[in-house]
Parts: sequence; C-alpha cells; structure tokens
Amino acid sequence: MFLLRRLTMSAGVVLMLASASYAQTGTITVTGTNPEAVSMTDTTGAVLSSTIALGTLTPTNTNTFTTGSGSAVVRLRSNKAYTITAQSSVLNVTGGGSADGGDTITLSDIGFGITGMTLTGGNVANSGSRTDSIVSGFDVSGGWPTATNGLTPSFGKTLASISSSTQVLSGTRISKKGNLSTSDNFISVTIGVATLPQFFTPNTGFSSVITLTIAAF
Amino acid sequence: MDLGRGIKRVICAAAGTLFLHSAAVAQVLTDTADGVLSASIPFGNLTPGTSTTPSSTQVQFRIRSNNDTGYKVRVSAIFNVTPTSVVPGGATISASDIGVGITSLVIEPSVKTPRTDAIAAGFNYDPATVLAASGLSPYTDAASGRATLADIIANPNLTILSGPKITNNQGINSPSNFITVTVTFGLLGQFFTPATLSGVLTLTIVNGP
Repeated sequence: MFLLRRLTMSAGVVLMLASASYAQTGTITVTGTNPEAVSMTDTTGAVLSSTIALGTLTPTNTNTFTTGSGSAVVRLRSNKAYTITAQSSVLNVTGGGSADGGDTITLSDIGFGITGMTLTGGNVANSGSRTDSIVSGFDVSGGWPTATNGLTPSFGKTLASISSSTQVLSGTRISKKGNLSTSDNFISVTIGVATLPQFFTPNTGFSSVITLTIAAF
Repeated sequence: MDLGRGIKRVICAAAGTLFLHSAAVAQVLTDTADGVLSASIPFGNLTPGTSTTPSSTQVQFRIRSNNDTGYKVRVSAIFNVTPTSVVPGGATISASDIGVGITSLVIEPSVKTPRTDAIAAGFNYDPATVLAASGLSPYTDAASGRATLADIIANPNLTILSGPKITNNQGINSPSNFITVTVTFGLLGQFFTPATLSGVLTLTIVNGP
C-alpha cells in the first residue's frame, strides 16, 4: 500500500511539473497615447520666423499702401479645435530724429490682419466645408481700407490692437491624420501688414515682433 | 496490504503513460528568461513630428518543439481605442496603423538544421525600416507585404510562423534548444484624434504542420 501511495504521488508530481513547465501561450500588450497636438510652421515646415520688410516709407502723392516685400504664410495643423492669438511687441524705432512738433510712426499706423486662407486639403478635416472664424476686424481678405487724405485710414485692426495677446482666428479640428511632413493635412493662413508712407519723424528703422500662438481647446 | 507484482506493473505503466502523454505536448513558448511571455509594448505619447521614420519597438520570445511534425505559432489580437476628444472630420488611430513583422529568427546550437522555418506572407518585413514619406501610416496589409495588427484581428489564430521539428528535447532547462523570435511593431505619430490605445496579441505554439 505504501508503494502504491508513493507511485501515485510521483505520477501526480510528474504531471504537475510538466503542466507548469510547458507554457504554450504568451501575450504581448501594445499601448500608446495620441495626445492633443497643434502645430504652426512656415511653408517649409520649419519654425515660423518670417520678416515682412516695409522698406523705406517715402511719402508720395498717392494713397497707396506699402504692404511689404514679404508676407507671413503660416501652416496650421491640429487634432482638436484651435485658436490663434497674436501679440505685437513695442515698436522699436532706431535712429529717430527730432519730432519737433510732428508725429512719429506708431503701432496704430500699421494695419494688421489676415489677408487670405486656404482651407482645403486631402487630409484636412471637413475640407471644403470648414467654418474657421476670423475675429472681427482682422479679416482683410477683401483688401485694406482706402486711405483718402494721405493719412492713416481707419484700419480694422492695427498692431496696437494686438499689443496684448489677442485672439485673431479660431476653428475646428484641422488635420484628419498625418504628421508635420504630410503635404495635405494643414490649412494656410496669410498674415499681412500695411501702412501709408507719411511725413513721420525720420528714423533709420523700426520694427515690431508679432508672436503668433496656436492652442487647442 | 501487499500488492502483487502485477498491480505494481500496472501502476508503473500508468505513471509512465501519463508522463509520456504530458511530454507529447511538445511545444514551449516563453519569454527570453524562459518564463511566461507577458510582454508590454508602450509606444508612449505619439506626438506628431516631422520624421518619416515610425516609432518602433520589439518583443523577443523563445520557441521550443520536439514534435516530429514541427510547429506552428499562431496569433490572435484585440485592439481598443478610447478617444479623449471629439472626432469631427478627422481620423482615429486603428489597428491598420500598426505595422507588425517578424524581423529575426535566431537558432541556437542544439536546434536541428537545416531549417525551413516559414514566416507568413506579409509578416516577413521590418516595420521600423518602412519610411512614411508622406507622413501617413506606411503600412498596408499582409497581402501587399506590410502586415498590420488589423490582419491579425481579421484572421484569428493566424499562423505567422511555422517550421519543422526544432530539437529532440523541448525542455526549458536547455540553453541551446530554442529559436529566438523577434517581432517588431511600428507606428507613426500623427494628428489622430486624441485617444489612448491598447492592443493584446495572444501567441500560441501548436503542433505542425
């Protein structure tokens, strides 16, 4: 009887060991997160750092604006609704002459706005039916207001309007998918400035840096 | 109680039979430490960038088999995505965005050679080296040579690897009687709908062919 018990136990042990040793299955768990993502770049996909050079603003006998030699075309991508805010720095005037009772150019003499948008693309969400909204006054896609008497016209918005962070644009999700190298998952926004050359106090140059910020909401 | 010689023989035979029967389950699939395979592949935060190279990661496991008819490694998968934001007009990541390929089979010295192990069509590629020139998922499907997780979900118990007998002894106490299999996963971060994703692949080794 003792032998029977021993053999039975041995068999049981053999079975248990065999069962524990020979795993035939295994699992692999894949995890990840798609975070909220927004992007604003220039047309090459690089960090936006554009210069709009207004050049030498010599007064003439016309009411023609100077809009600069360049424009800032911005590519926007997002996987959520977004807002764009803009903020101008103080106008830095160098080599300024004596005002001598006259006026010196200021931020309010420089119109600022969105001159155009391209809202379609193969991987743009809701392409063709987007409803991106330019904040009132910043939409100059129809052109700048007309100067009539050689003075700064009543711009909808100027650089003075964005001396503090100010929302200028908002919209729904932009990108269906793709990354920053995808050629059809962004919208393009063109930012413009304009000013009328006048007999402002002479200077050797002026500048203001406009900082654009995109955020998801 | 004194057992007769006949009864003892029967018991011995039973024990032996049970042992042999157990040993006939001749396949073993383990992690690289010879433990139960339970690997995790965290892709982490898939922030879209400018790179055309997908994020990739690998899992290795060992297979052993002494079955005369060889072995098959089968795989099934499930995949879940939980959006954390609304989707309007956009795309949400799916199983077809995750490339899956067997990128290496390393044969240890005691493994029988020559070998004719076969990787399933479409899975014999390296998802880490497929460029996403357009910034979109570069994987297609198994039929076109770039298998994805969606191929596995669509074909439960899909045989992704098979081959002849690996060794005479499939016990995990030997350091040289197994094949190390490397599976590589690839995924390109994109402007997908904000979400968390989770997928589980279950691998099983069974008798071939």
